[in-house]
Amino acid sequence: MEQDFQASQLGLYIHIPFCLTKCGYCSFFTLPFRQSSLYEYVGYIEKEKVLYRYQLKRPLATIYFGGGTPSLLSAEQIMAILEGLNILPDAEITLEINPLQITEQYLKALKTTPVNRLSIGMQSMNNSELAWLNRHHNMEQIIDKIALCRKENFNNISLDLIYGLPNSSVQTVQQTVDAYLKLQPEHISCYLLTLDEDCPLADEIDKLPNEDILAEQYEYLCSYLKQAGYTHYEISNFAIPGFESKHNLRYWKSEDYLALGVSASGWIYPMRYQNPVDINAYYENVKNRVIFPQKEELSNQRIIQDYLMMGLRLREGINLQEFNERFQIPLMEIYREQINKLIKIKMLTLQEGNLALTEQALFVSNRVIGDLIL
Amino acid sequence: MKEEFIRNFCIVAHIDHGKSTLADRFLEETHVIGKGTEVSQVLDSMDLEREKGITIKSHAVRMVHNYQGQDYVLNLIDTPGHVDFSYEVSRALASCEGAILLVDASQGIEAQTMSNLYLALDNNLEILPVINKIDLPKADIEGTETDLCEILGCLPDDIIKVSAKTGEGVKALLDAVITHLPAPKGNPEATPKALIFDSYFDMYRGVVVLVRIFEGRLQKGDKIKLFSTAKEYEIEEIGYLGLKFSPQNELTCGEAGYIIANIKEVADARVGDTITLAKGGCEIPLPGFREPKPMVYSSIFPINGEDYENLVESIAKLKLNDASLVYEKESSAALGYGFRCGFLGMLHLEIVKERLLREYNLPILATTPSVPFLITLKSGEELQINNPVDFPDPSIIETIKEPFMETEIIVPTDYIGNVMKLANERRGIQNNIQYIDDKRVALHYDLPLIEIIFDFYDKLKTVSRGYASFDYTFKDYREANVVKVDILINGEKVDAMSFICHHDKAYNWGKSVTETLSEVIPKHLFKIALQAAIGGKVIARSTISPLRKDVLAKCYGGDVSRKRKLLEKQKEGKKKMKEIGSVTVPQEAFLSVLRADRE
Repeated sequence: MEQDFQASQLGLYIHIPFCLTKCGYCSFFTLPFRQSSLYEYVGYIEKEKVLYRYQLKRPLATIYFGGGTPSLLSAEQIMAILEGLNILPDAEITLEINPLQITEQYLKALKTTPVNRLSIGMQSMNNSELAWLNRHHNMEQIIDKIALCRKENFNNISLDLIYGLPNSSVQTVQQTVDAYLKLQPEHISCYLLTLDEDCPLADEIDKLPNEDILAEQYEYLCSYLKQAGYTHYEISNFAIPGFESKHNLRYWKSEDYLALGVSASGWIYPMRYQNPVDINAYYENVKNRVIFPQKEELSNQRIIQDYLMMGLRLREGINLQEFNERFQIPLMEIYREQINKLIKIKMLTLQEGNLALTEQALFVSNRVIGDLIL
Repeated sequence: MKEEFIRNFCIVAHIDHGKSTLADRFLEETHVIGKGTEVSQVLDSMDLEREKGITIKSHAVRMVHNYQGQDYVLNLIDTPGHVDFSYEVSRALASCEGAILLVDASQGIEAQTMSNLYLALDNNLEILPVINKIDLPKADIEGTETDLCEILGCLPDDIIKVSAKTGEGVKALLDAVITHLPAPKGNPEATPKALIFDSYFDMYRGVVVLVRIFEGRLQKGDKIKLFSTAKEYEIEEIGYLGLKFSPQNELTCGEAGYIIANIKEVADARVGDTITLAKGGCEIPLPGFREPKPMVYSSIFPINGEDYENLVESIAKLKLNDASLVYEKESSAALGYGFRCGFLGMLHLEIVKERLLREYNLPILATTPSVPFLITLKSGEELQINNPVDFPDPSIIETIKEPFMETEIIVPTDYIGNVMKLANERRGIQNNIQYIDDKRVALHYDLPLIEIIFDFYDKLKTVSRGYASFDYTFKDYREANVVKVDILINGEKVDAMSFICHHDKAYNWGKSVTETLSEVIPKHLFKIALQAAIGGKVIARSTISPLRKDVLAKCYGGDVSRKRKLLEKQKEGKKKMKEIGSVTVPQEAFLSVLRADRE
């Protein structure tokens, strides 16, 4: 057992909450950036890492620096965080990066770290859209920045794209996608703009396009990117084959991941935990050597439900045999009635031993998955 | 107390004309309650009554008033204030020798005042006309006086003017009750005969029966018999009604009071029934007793299916205190187990619903109300249909009859046109128009009850800017061209949504119901067809287009719990809905039939 555990792979998420400015659509927990704050914070991450030394003996298949703006970290700080970790040679190590922080100097420094994948928060290739989103870059800059990344040999680049903005249409989405495709990214994440009640742009909620227009944009994105050679492998994610995000796949496949940093949450079977959302409470926890705060051990039923909830986001869906091996019970035995109902109305398909959402189910997946598991 | 020193009387008034306030002043003047105590409107004991501003049950209170050195007993018998309860009103009136006709000087005579006045006259009551609210700046004392004189044939001097609010004229009014209203007459030595004018269930005492003794006397320990049920009881306690029970040894003829006799539910002590002795009692009961006859039917279902057992218990408890409520078990394909209930009218239905919610914490769903239809089949068989579900196939029906009500609408002359238009739309048949004075008119229509129970009163208020008053009583059954309309959701008939209506209104109503449903039922993963049909023929349809968007675009490690909560919330909402076929239908959809515009 011990041996198994030692051998089983792990993912690692590291949260960096600081931002230079707050984006209009963001309702996540962020903190204003100060060099000294970041310095202090990295110190706590290093201490927290030590608390989890037992888990961190496991070989790390993926590491993901998310935020906030993790590209505020210097190469030295990244190295300090990664120091002593059992990182597999072919591990995927992603850094979310703000386009404005892409400089030759920074990229060169990053090359001295094991970071091998960049996820760029560019969001749009339309300058008025970028302004509305309160992003401080423009499309002309982006083109140069990506070229710089290529020059410095970053060969696994993911670009974020936000659709469903006020006044957007299939035409504006197409313009943006065309501009993206020229940059030849290995990976594209397409996110539907959602404005929560507590984000700065909340007052603009009424200006968002109606659901028919949104569905049209989504369907267009899916078919256009497919045509361009990208695999649509998750509801919002597209990749050149072989460049799917290994780290995110761990989430969708319910594989273990440890999480460090304020507000981060992890999953170590059969338990979820989450660090405090308050920075001082997080620091207190680390000082007091609290591990797995707010931990919740999940029932087998809950684990199965979460497994389906996340797994069905993948276009390949759930492999029935894998499910059976993992949970020692056939999926059809638990959900036969619901599954048959949803197959009948063409929301699910069962093909070659895989249960998956149909194309038309993707944009209503919350409802379909809810109908299935609850 | 000798009969000559007793007065039994009631107050006849329209809602808001100050009946309760006047009763409070009487109680103060006769020292039943202290002056200025904020007992406001002591007689209205149910919360609901106070909120709705009407008296649902009648009550009685005994007061002593000294007039020219002699103490008199004044029994004030309160009457329910809504047409749904006109039978109960008539029994309360029958317990009195006289009535105060109370009219608000700022409002004048209204439909309900008139109908209760006629009831009082039918019961041979002496009428004491009183004008209230004389302190109000907009009081039209003279005009009201003229109207009263015209209706009653009295002189202006016969009319007493009071302000129940300030107390002005109240003592003079009590004196007038003694001098103007007759004393009861009866033989204290005759075989006892007592009229039940009200009864209610008390948690600690069982059923409390309010009676007026017409002949003889009833004593503690007497073995008594109730005429309508022939059941026998022993009087455990007898006495006068004040704010509290005041036990006595006996009640003699002319007196009013209460009896407690180990009676389990009010249905065993029906309003209007006669009490006599079990042995050697009288042969003939007092006149006027009637079994309660429900005129409005509706099915009630617990909103949460698991509350059914609770509903069974609660409705039985409610019945202890509500003799007019009739019910039987019903099972609906759409709504599960519930009860088909008969009510005296729409207000009664509302009260039962409210009481189940407030007193038993039981939210219920009431289906579209209906009225009893009398159907003769071609085979000659006769049926009374209280539930659209039981409506026979049209091909085997010979005739259908529906209940008609005799109605009176009093309205300022400016609005006659509007009211007549409304009455015509509701298939009213005009009997006559009577001018009360140069400003107001009484319209008499026969109207089908089914046309009244759906928002007629609300519409009437709208077209008359709130000035019309309305009253009705059952008249007769008449042949009717009515049809049953079914509502289908994705081809599945929803039994609880079927309704019966006049043939000419079926299309508009059906269309309106499907449209309302299309707004109330949330979008599903598939298209939903909503249809209204008579027999197999679809007369109206609407569609709900499928859901297009319900997605969490970003879902990573930290979002698992968030997403789960989202789905759970979705499920929580679904729990409160009913599953019909594969369509999830919210509770309010069942009210759509009611709310749908029918014009």
